[in-house]
Amino acid sequence: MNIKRMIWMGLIGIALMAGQAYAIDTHAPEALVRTTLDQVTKILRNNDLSMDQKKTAVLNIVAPRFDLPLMAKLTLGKKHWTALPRDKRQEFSSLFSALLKRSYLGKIDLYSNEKINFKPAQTKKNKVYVPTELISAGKTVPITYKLYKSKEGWKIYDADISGTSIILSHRAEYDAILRNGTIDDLLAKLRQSLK
Amino acid sequence: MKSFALPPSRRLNGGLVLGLLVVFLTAGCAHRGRPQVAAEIPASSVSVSESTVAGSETDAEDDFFDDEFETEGPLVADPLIRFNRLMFQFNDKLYFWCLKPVARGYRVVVPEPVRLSLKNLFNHVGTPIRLANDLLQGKFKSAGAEFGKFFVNSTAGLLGLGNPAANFPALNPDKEDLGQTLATYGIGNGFYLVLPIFGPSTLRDTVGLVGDFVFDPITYLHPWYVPLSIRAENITNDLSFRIGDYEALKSAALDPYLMLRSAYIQHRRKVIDE
Repeated sequence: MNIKRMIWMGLIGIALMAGQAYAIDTHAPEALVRTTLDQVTKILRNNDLSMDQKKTAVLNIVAPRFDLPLMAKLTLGKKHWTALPRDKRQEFSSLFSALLKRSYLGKIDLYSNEKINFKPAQTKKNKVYVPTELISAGKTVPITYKLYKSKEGWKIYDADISGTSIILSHRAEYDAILRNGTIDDLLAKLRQSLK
Repeated sequence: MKSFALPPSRRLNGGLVLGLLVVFLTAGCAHRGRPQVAAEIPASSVSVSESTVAGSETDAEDDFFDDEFETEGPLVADPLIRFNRLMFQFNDKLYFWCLKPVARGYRVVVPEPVRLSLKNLFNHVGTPIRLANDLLQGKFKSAGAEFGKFFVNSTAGLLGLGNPAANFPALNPDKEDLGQTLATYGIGNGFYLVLPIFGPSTLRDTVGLVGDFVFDPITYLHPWYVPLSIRAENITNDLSFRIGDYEALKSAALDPYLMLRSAYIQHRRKVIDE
């Protein structure tokens, strides 16, 4: 009897601990997105900075919030990524990071809207989605930031812009390029586009 | 709703496509409209069992591969890809050579308050389209909200030139169109179709687009060039707020056609799920 009871207590204890460890607190990721966007807004409103200075400053704040290597990996997808040798993975990862920085993170007109609305965060398994709305005259763009808990804290691994995931959109392209060619074709095209 | 959304790689495999079609057509009715319900269960309710599966944090990345992104994303059949690419080129040139310069000039000439009022007015006049589709989808709450919005904007908004209803979230339901209505009836995308001027669409959404003209009061104005001019003005006015969006998308893409196709299908899936 006693042993049975001890086993039960132990199991309940484990379940409680596991529950605690995995109960997701949305405050941290929400705060991360909020403070990042606040910092960006502050930079954009600073009239002492030139356009280029603003861009660099924004990039310095935004880029560390994203897990760019993970985004590269997710974009290629399991099928293509696992088939690549290490050096090609690395090369793709750095080229794709550069593309993300240029096309999204450093796009300061993407943030320079009049108002940002925050909607309640949602948890998806062990990830957190933070939906926001960029509101400017005549236009509202919904942007949802998707975060996961990395070893270095919460990081953004994807963003949905008007319901369109950055990762899925690029995956559609890269998958087609890889199906009709090799990784070297894809890398060459990326290099070309970054010029 | 994903009944016809076959990955392009399977396009040529006729037998497989036919087989899948049969399976999807029969299964489609069962989970039409909301295929993601199961995936949307809040994490808190599954967290305990999840912990035993997810294990240590190092597995977190492999976790991504397994769930979120390994579903291949929303795909669409594209048997007319050669025609579509041609249309894409046509629209691209139309935008850069014609629509964009016009919208730019328009933006300079017409002050922003006027453009905003016109945008509100076009939205206001489009109420019957959204209302009809709310009703066709059985979304009576949204239909009520559309009606309330129409009433508020007709009165306090000076016949629709203003949008005071925007301040009340309850009066701003998601916008429904016939393409979405057809999707909730279990009709899939069919295939991807790029229309001249209107841009990315699918077979289903094109049918919806044509059908929505029926609900659009502007269609019934005489003589024939009145609705045409109003729609041209609507497009220009709307574009004047969105110059640069297409350029941004295009600059991020290696193959803008594929990017836009994926973006369109994802966007539609989102508004249908809402």
